[in-house]
Amino acid sequence: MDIRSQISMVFHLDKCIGCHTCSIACKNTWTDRKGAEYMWWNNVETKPGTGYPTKWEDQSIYKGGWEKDSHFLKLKGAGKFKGIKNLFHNPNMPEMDDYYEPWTYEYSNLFEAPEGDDQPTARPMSLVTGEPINPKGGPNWDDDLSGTPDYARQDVNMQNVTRAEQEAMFQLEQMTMHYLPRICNHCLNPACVAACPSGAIYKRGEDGIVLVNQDKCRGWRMCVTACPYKKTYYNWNSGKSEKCILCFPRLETGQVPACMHTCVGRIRYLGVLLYDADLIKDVAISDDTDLVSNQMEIYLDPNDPIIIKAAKENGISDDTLEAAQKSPVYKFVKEWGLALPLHPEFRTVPNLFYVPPLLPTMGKVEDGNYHNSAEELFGSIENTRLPISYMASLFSAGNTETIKGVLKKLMAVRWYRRDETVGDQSKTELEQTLKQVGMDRKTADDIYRLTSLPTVKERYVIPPAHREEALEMLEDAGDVKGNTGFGFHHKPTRGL
Amino acid sequence: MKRYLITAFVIVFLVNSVQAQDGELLFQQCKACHTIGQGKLLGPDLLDISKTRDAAWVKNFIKSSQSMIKGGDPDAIALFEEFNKLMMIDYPLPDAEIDAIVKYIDSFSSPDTEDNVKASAVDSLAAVEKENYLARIDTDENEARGKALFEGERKFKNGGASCISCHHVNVGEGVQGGLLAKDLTQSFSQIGGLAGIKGIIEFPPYPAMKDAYTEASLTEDESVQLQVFLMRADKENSMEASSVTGFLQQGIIGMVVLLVIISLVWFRRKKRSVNFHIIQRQR
Repeated sequence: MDIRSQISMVFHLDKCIGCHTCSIACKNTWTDRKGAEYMWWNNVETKPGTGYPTKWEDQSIYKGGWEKDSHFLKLKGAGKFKGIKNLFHNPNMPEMDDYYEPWTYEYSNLFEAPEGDDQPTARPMSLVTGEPINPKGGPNWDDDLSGTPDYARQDVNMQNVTRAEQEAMFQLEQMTMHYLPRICNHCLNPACVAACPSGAIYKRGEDGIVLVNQDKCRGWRMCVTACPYKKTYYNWNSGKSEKCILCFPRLETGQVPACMHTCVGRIRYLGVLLYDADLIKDVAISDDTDLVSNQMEIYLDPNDPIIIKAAKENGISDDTLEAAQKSPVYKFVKEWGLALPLHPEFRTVPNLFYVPPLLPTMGKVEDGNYHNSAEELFGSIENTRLPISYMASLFSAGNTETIKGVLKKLMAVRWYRRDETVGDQSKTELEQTLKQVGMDRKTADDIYRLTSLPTVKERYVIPPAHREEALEMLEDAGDVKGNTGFGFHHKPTRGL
Repeated sequence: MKRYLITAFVIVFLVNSVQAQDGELLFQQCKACHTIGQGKLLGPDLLDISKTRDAAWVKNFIKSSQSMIKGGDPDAIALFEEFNKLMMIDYPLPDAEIDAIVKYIDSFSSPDTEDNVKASAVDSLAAVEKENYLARIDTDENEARGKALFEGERKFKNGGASCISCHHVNVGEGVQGGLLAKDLTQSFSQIGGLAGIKGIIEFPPYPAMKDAYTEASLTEDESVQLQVFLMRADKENSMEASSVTGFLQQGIIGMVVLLVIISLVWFRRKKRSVNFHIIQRQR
């Protein structure tokens, strides 16, 4: 057993309102530099939709992630032969049109335009060429455009949805969408790290954040191809690749990452998960249907004394263990089994989990009229507007049972709250429903509270970074102890 | 240098001592490259030169053909092109001597057309004889001896310097020759065959060569051996030259094959942006 700690996230999709505040916070903090204009370390997509970069989920185009080859894993887009083949020309990367041509507006014209008959306008100016352009795409170009043939119907996940289901899905009365905010998953089996020929990408030991060493990066861009989530980006100005750093400078000082801090819908949760690094390979290589359940097995119970002992032996500090015990992520992912990884079939074992959206399930449709006075208050899970197979394609590698299980639990919590606040439904039926999903009233209440009424400290449990230990890795404190304190970087001018 | 000066004095003395009118003697220095009625050597046959060319033009050409070519005289350039871009050495002779030479040449031409017919018959006879002669001299032994002479393994009978001191010939494993004078690898085809080589070897027109071989002239056998050697070296290299074009062809074919393979290996690559059609439509 090789226990390590990982900072991981849960995004509650039922709560996301698609306001893009997270994206803006991230952009203003990290990527408003030359060469990084097109990067959105955090972006919000409308689903069904093609996303950013366009069709990023289609690995037959971009060759990202891992492939299972009988008994071992191999990168879909890298390897010795593929590496040599694409050494000087790597065609599987998204190009500028797949992202978009970044632009700004010529605001100065509003103030400096000479007096004339027309109102001065701020024309869009390309940030690449500096010339005026007509934007033809953007990172959220398909925002709220569910049902459109160009975007929603081109969604890669539609491949797993039957023709009939698709037709039903895009009926005007049933048309629906949800938002999918995405950041780097800080995977346990990161393809970008494996693909980097320079060894510039690494996963931090203490908290599992995946980072690109800007001194080592040689701009091969193999990571851009390898990351199936297309969350590493190439900075054309610096010639290096960059990616979401999970705001580690903020985390190390006990602050919440910018995207989470600003989240209007309060959909984001952050906390520590303990996992067994010895099992990563077994998880990554498991069959599609077992991927999610096997991944859940890798995360360990931080309250188990055996685990605590093993974790301490592995150098995990008491503070981190304490944070793991309070972790909201552990509750959503392991205890309650409500959150699922995005596209586990890429086999990178991602650490960002999503509570799938329990959209308004269908009421009764009769004579073409929508009745909201159904016998069943919330309708049934099978009648969700987004087909189960669609959500299974997103969150469980096609395993519809996993999705149904989660949706039933979410539904049970709603029944529970209806009973608490209105009490007009049959109590026995509620008890049966709760029993069916293996939940008692207390758990249902906990879920409700952490979903709807959490405080900041409940949503984000950040372990202390122990910078002093990091310092001791670089220099031995014993060497300077007993001399003149810990020494000076610069001698004081007043003289000694 | 000293020797050169002495030889130069000797030549000047010789030239001055002969009667200016003695065209036959004067023509000796033209013989390396020209004949009168016996066909081309390095330069054209000079038979009937007075009929085909203007006397003043001939005079100028002899004095300095090089400046005429540079000056853009069309006839001079045409000749220059015709004779493998070999420049004739400038002979700044007094007008009287040139007149004597021209007169000597004119003495060969006859107004009789029948004679011309005869001459052509003689030509064809000569061609047959030439062939026999060629078959007789073109032997491996001659080539080997010629090579030995060229490379200095054998000495010239009259003590002339071996050719390799100034010249290079490209013959397979052969020694790298001197770079002071022209590469003779393709001399056979460039300077008009055996006769041209013979002319230059036996009556060297170039100052340095004249200097070196006037007193240490080559024997006839030596001359023949060298001719054969240079002829064969030329043929060998022209074959090589053709294999160079073959190499080029193979290279082009190979590259086309390679390009086809490359386009097959990368056939399934991502060729354009995913939303190409959407963006195209907006243009």
